[in-house]
This record gives sequence, C-alpha cells and structure tokens, in this order.
Amino acid sequence: MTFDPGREIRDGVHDAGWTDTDLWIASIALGGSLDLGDVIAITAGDRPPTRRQYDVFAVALNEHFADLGHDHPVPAWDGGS
Amino acid sequence: MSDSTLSESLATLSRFFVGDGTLEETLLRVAELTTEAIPAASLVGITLMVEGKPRTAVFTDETAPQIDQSQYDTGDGPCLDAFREQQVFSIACTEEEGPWPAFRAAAAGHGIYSTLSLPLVVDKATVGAMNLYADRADAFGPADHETGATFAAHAAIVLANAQAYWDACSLSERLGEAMRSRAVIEQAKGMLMGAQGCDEDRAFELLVQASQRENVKLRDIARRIVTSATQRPRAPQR
Repeated sequence: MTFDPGREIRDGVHDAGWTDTDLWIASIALGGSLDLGDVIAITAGDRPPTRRQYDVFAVALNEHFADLGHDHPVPAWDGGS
Repeated sequence: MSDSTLSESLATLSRFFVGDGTLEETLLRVAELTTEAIPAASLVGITLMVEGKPRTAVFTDETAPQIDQSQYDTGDGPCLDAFREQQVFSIACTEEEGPWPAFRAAAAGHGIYSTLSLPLVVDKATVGAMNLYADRADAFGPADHETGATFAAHAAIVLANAQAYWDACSLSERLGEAMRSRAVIEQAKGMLMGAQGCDEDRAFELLVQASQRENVKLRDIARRIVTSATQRPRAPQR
C-alpha cells in the first residue's frame, strides 16, 4: 500500500482518541510551529503534512501510545517502523 | 412561586462570575438556586455529557444521581430525552404507568413521586439537562414549568460560560506545559546544530533517532543534552 502521511496521522489521532487540539498541543511541546487551523486542515485531509510536520506528529502520537504501554504504531515517513 | 423570588434567583444567576469558583461549584450553585426558584423541587441534579456519556455532574442530594443512574443504565429517561430532544418532560406521578418504566420505578423507590426535566440549551446546542425531583405527586404545576423553562434558559448561559472559561484555563495550562517542554527541545536542537553543523530539521531527526534507539522520550533526550552541556567544565580563560 502507498504511504499516505495524512492518513497515518488521521488514523493515529483516531486510535489515540485525541482531538485536533490534543495533537496541536503535543506538537507544540515538541517544537512544532503549526497553528491549530493548520493541524485541523491536515487531520481533515484538506492538505498533507510536510515531512517535518509528519515527524513531529508521529513522535507525539507514538510517545502517547508508549505511555499507554503500546508499541509505536505511527510509522516513519517512508512507511517503515 | 412569586415573581420576586424568580427575579431574585435570576438576578443572582446573572451576577455569577464563573471564575470565582470551579465549574463544579458553579453548577452546584445553579442547582441550589433552582430549588429556591422552584420550591416544589425537593432535589435537583444536573446532567452533563462527560466523554460522551451522561453523568449527574452535580446534585443537591445524593439521591438524585442514584435515581439518574437508572436512566443512564437503560439509556431511557426524561432527563436524557430532555437532553436529546431539547424539550421539557415531566412525570406527574411515578407510581402510575407511562413512559420510562425503569426510571419511574427507581424514582418511586427513592420516595420521588413527580419529576420535571429541563434541557439546558444555548444557541441551539444542548449543554446539559436539569432534573427536578419532588417527594409528592403532581408537585409541578404549569407555573413551575414556565418558571423552570425561564430559569433553565439563564442557567444554560451560565453553564456555557463556565465551561468556556474552564476550557480556556485548561488550554492555557496545557500550553504552558507544552512551552516548557518545547524550550528544552529547542535548546538541544541549537546545540546539535552548533556541534554537527546541521540544520534544524536534521537536529530534530537526530533527537528522534536517539529517542527511538534508547526508548526514551524525546524531551528527556533533549534535557540530557542540555544538562550535559551546561555541566561540562569550562575551558580556562587566558
């Protein structure tokens, strides 16, 4: 299956039970610089994240899953683990 | 009830400054004012949706949530219908047959014989519902319905304002915490950029790699880098 960064983030947010605000705050904590509207546009599928934006979201989500004792379900940019 | 009692209760409600108490304290005060505005009510409970599930967030007597639980267990009751349909529902006598049989039985079992359920609606959105319980049948007359609707309309605005205020406080706190975490990550990235001669994106990548390799949170890796750099002995100055 083709790697779709927007879908990976949407799936991660859904599985985490997060809101867009949760993702936005977690990305700010990691040095992300998007505003909430940009985050909403990405999770709504209106536009894809850049690689840098994706990396920040993936770390935020994976750290959250790790806190819950899960693995790191959000893959690296190229679709690897 | 007299118009002056309702006016006093509404005036008290309108003077609420939601930041003076927690959301729960504000809700409790609203519930207490309701019993003053509608004296036939022996107890009052306010239902809110918490994480998608109905919960009696505040009550003037612990019997209220015990009765409400039968609604939540079956998904069927006047307060839930008031919430869903944005309409007032009442039971004149819980010992008589009618809609919501499980709720009627639970209420009668707790000595509650009539109920009045009011939706709390702001700008067409339901923010909660209020259940008024009386220890006698036919306790709520047409005037109580009218007073209840008026009071609920004002109470809903107080609740919505309180919710918005505390949501904003919570967001502010979370952002403050995020900014503290962000600061140490930015410092670590700057140090890596200086040491490795790389750009910001590469510095972040290095932090991510170290975090994954050591199975340690990224901010803890960053803190370690910053701490080790600041604790390194300084070269003697000439």
